[in-house]
Amino acid sequence: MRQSGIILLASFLFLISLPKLSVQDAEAIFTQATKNLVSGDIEMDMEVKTTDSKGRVKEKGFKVLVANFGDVEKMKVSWQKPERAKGTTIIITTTPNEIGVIEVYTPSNGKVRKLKATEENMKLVGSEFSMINMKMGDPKELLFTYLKSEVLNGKDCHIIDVKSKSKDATDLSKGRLWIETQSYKIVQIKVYDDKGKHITLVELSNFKPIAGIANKIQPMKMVSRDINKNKITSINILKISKPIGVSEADFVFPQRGNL
Amino acid sequence: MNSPHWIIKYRLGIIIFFSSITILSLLLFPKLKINPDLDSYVPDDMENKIHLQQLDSIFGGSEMLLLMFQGEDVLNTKTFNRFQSIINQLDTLNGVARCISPFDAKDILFQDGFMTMNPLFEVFPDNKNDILKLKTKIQNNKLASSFFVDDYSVVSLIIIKESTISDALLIEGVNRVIDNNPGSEEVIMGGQPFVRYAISGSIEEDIIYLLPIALILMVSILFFAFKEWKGVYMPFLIVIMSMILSFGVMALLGWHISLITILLPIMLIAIANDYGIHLIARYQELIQLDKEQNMKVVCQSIYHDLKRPIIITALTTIGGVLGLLTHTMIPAAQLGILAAIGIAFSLLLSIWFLPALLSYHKPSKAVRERDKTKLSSTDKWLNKFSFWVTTYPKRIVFISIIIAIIGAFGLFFIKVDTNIEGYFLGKSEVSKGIKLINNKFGGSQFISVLFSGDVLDPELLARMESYEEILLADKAVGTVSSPVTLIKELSKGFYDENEAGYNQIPDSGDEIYQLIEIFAMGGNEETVEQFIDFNYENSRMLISLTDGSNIEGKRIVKKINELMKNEPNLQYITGSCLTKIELADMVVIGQIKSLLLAIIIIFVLLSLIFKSFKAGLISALPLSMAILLLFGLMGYLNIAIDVATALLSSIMIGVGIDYTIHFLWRFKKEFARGNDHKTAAHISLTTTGRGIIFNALSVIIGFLALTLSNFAPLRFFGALVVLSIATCLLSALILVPSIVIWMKPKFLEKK
Repeated sequence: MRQSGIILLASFLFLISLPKLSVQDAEAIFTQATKNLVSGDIEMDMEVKTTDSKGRVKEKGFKVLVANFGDVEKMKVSWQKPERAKGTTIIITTTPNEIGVIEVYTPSNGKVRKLKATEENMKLVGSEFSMINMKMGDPKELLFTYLKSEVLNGKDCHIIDVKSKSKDATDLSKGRLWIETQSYKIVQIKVYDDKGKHITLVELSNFKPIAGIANKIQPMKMVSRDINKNKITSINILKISKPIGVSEADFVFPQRGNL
Repeated sequence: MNSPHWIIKYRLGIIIFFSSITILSLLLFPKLKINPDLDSYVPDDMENKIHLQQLDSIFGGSEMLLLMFQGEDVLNTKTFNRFQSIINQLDTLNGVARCISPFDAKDILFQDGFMTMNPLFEVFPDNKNDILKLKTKIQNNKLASSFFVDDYSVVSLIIIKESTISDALLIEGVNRVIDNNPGSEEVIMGGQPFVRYAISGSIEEDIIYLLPIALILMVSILFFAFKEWKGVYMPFLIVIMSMILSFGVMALLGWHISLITILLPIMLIAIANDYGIHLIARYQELIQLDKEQNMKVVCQSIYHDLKRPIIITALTTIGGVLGLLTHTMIPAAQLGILAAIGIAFSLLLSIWFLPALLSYHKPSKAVRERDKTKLSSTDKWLNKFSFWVTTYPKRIVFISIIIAIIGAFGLFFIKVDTNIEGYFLGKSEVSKGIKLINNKFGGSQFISVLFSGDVLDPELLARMESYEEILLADKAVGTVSSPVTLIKELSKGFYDENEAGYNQIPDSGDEIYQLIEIFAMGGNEETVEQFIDFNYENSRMLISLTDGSNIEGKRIVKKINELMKNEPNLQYITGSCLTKIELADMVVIGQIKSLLLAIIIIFVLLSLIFKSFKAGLISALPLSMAILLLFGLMGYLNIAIDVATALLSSIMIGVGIDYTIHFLWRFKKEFARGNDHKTAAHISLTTTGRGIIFNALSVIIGFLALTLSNFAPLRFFGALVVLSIATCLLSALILVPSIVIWMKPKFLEKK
């Protein structure tokens, strides 16, 4: 069982980081759908509202910064809300053909802990999405299947299955996507685990153009439903843009020099 | 009797009517359900039940099933592989929320400036040295070591049960997984879902095996008594038909078969055949007196002769069992209603259905021609009773009072225990699992303490830690889990071993929050939510008890209350252990209330029937003495009052009062015929006494079947009922006649 938020982020990052694919219809539709989405370096502010099965609500706020420095990809997730968690930060550095590094910073004690970005450790820091993202990023590891077209919320949609070929594929081993035939917006994703059980439903809406990035749109609202736990996670992207003048110094903790 | 009585005139209609009701009731049987859950015995408005439900809504269900693998040394590749395969299959099993096992334990190391968190059991070592190293690692890892016993003869895993699945479905699924993975280790199951499942299975087994045994024994004793099949099958048929109707009503009302309502058929065997037996005894008496009598006339006569005493005995018995309505324990009150319905039906069957059916038969030739001069062993006993009663009435009353006083002293030693773990006998699988959990894994019964407010406040956590230490020093406490354990473990990941802060509660609430936040984000929300709720507003301390008895449970609850009396964040103390204690109090209060009500009902009814308070007193007094003797004996023999034995007094009243009424009724009749007190007592004892003895014997022998039960309380119950009926029998045949002869009450002399 994984957190809905993680799955939602995973789905989201999966979409924005897809490489150019070059196979038949399903792949072509998929490529068309993703080419307008933001990819590469981004920064955003988001609010995550989680409602559990008993109706209790928890709200969190994050700043996310993703940047590539040559082959090295860095991602920083900083807590903005609630007040007690403010400043808590995770930085994940991934390098091709190398095991990456996860750094966890807790401002209350000024401690930074480093972990190797093994799949196991990625789960420990809640960053499983990044590992899946990397695996799914390789077109040789993906299988595409066109299923049918269907009307969803009054709009015609293509339905496509995207599946990892990897035997090690974990929870997100299959995603079923609903892509609007006219606009090529991905409006719904069903996530299945490796046993074929439907575990999450993600709905994407409120697509908006991204300031400073031409011809790019972004779903500003994503709602994920954890089917098993009856938990709803709603992500509202408050601000998204291409970072200007981002450098490696932006991925350094304030106390780093003291480590 | 020129025109035939309506019972004879409409006999076929009567038979069809009662048979139809029985068949309709039988059709409702598929709706019957078994409910072994002890918590459901407690009314919904009980404080602890409300608290438990609140706790469940805050932290989610926390029902656990334990699997323990026992072998010589479980740290070997074969066991490891079997264990892992079972866990993998259990993870996908329907109803399993998750499995917690030593495989979840992480080996946290600092190597080359990096913290590593590898699974402790990633690769199982293949040589002795590495196995020894692994044993050291396990010993140093609190999370892993809790799954092993010290000598590595047992390894366990915990299955968290989804609240939506039934115990039976889950356990059957788990058993399938175990069967699919055979091995040399013995797999022992434990935990409350398994205990409930075992109780449910045993209830079914008891119904399937004990009931027929009880009925066969009853039939045998009836044949031995009456020496003709009419005397056997008719009372037997009445018992069966009453049972069917009662269970049909149970199904109709949507009530469940519980450990208490399982006593319903047993009660009906004891009570419902009573009236039929007296009718058969009277029929045999009549055909012996007049060998030429027509069967229809005999049937009319037995109806006329016994209608009133049977109605009176049935009414008093119904009054007695309705005393159970005062019980706060829901199934006890249900039992009272169902037994009353069954008895009422058996009354109607006895006075209408039995004569109607009997009228189709011919009188037994063997009975008619029985040599009256040759005394049977029953007659010999009755003559002895008659001799003692008529010769030494005062002495008998005096001795009875002394026995009752001695018995009353035993009440001071009586104890109450409602621990379901004690229901199973020493060698049973359940008992084995319970012992292993209690001795090696800290116990399977829990007390929860709920704290509210700023639950991440380091001061509160420090106080919780001190409570934990004090409680752990008590031998009855197995384990104490709280957010403190989790937070201290988390601190190990952020501080070096030699650094201040390692394995300690952090100084600020913010730091605690951040550690938990990071941990929860890694898919560990469920682990956190076992102790701290979703919004960090409530936290709980979970205390397991190695001794599930009420005495120890009460002591620990008292200790917790004293320890935390000034705790500002304390909300309440709750747990299934407290339900059990509340249940024990309910059993005692219910017992006293139902006893008093039953005796009052009987006293009032008999006073009205005989138009004399003395009649009420004479009838209720021997019964009260028998009850004192029974409970006193339980005190002396260290037999606890539990959910089953708590119902003894009601059965005793139901059965015991009948014997007294039958005797008094016959005595009155014989006295009215001009006999003196001694002669009337002698005739009553040697005629009606015969029916009373046959009735008591059939009940005693029937109840002996209970001593074969799967449950210890039912075994004791069986033995104690035998003793109670024997006491009631002796009261009715010795004490009551003695009082009557000695005191010569006027109400028996009225025409």
